[in-house]
Amino acid sequence: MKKVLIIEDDQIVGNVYRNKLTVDGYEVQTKPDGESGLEIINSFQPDLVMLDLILPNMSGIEVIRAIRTSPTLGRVPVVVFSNTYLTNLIQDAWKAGATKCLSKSSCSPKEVLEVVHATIGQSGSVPQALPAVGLSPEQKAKNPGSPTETDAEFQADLRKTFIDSLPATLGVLRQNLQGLTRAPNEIDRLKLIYELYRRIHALSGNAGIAGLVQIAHMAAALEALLKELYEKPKNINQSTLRTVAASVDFLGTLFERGTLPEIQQTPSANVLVVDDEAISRRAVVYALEKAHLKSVNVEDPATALKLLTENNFDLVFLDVDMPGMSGFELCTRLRNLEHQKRTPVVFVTSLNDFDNRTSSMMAGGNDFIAKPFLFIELTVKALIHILRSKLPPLVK
Amino acid sequence: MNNDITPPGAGADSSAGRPATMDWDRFSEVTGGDEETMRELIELFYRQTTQQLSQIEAALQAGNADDIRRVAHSCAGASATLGMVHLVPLLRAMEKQAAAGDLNEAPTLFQSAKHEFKQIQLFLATQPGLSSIQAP
Repeated sequence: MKKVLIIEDDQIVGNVYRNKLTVDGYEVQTKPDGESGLEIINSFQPDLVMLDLILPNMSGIEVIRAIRTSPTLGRVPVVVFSNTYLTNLIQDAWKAGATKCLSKSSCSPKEVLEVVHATIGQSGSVPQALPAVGLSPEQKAKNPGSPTETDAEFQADLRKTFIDSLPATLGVLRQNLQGLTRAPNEIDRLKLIYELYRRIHALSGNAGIAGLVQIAHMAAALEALLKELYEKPKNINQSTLRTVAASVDFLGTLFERGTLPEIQQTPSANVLVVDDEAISRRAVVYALEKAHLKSVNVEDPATALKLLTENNFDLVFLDVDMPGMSGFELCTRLRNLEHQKRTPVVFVTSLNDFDNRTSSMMAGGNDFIAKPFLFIELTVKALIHILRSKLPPLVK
Repeated sequence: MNNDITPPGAGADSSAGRPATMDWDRFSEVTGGDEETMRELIELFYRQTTQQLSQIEAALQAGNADDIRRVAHSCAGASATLGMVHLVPLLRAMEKQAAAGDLNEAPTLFQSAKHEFKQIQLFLATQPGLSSIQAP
């Protein structure tokens, strides 16, 4: 019988994967952190290690390095779960010797099983039957799957359990955010950012296994932003904190309106970027690419107005200070176009000009971001506006 | 859906030991640590900044505060995006003073900005893969 060691601090995610693999005939051990995983690795002798890169205390990268320097287990395949928005972490994982990197926010238990099959082959033993009849959805999340239970039923159960837990989750996130906005000093603020980051990390993983793609993606992007703020507190400012608050608020909207099975895809979008200065324009485009959002970029506001007149866009980023026509003026003019009345517009402005927000709202803009922005902050903003604009109307 | 996260190309360099002429972490974030992207952006930065500094110089000679404000604002935005931490405050000061119609310190700030631009070039000339790039 082939053996798999799962190192994952989220109990629900760990249990779901453990049971999926156990049902398929693998012998599985789960450990909640790197230290306890490494303690048993020599005695357990796994054929494959599944590892979350974001762990408390010892990091996932340190665990990979420890495995790779082991004389007996140095060659064991290590499949890691990461966040597509944490590109540096993924680079570090590849450098440390990861065998495969999977996106935690968009990987179903079925897909994980396929990766295990492809990496080490079938389990080599008869699949086990676990009792599933008569269990509550929560129990099924812990003990899913008789062989007769289909993946679709299993996924539906997971989804229901997860959706039932969302009101409580939102309450905790809002409480955390409230504390953050009232934090009396830098140390408390950083502590609360870390707490929120850990909660959003868990939310992203749980939404991912429940197949709720939009919540998982939004949470993954917010997780990456919070990680950046925690690790580089110099980036905590009015703009980034405002983006964090808007993200938590929008997650609340997604909890209410973003759980329908038919909308569980990341919507494609057509984004327009207008900035007369090439390097700033390129930075916006690059940040959008991180969220796999394609964009058209132009330097001249008059050309932008022509494009806006002739095409539909899902989101527009506007520099404020442009020769010939300011971003505010361009926004006012695009609002006169019937098909652009509701198109989200985000102004990109320097932090010193944050007071411009009054002008931006007067001109019909929806939002603003301070330059130089963190790429992940712009990514988060883009996701909020695009996902929001494509949500189905709320049915009371 | 493809859930694989593909292996990256060249990784980001560590910022350890680099002088403060630029914020290397910021520059690495913009370029993703990719050497070709670094070259492309530095070529663009050299070309654009050379042109913008000429425009500021011409506006100084003409006493045109609005042009100074506008070009300094644009140049500061690009420089901040790439992490040119010493150049940015000089341009921001020039922008702020020009916006208030005050050009008294503008020539001094301009000379400091030109000097800092040169320092950036000297620093980048020592970096592997970037040393052959020349400002126009």
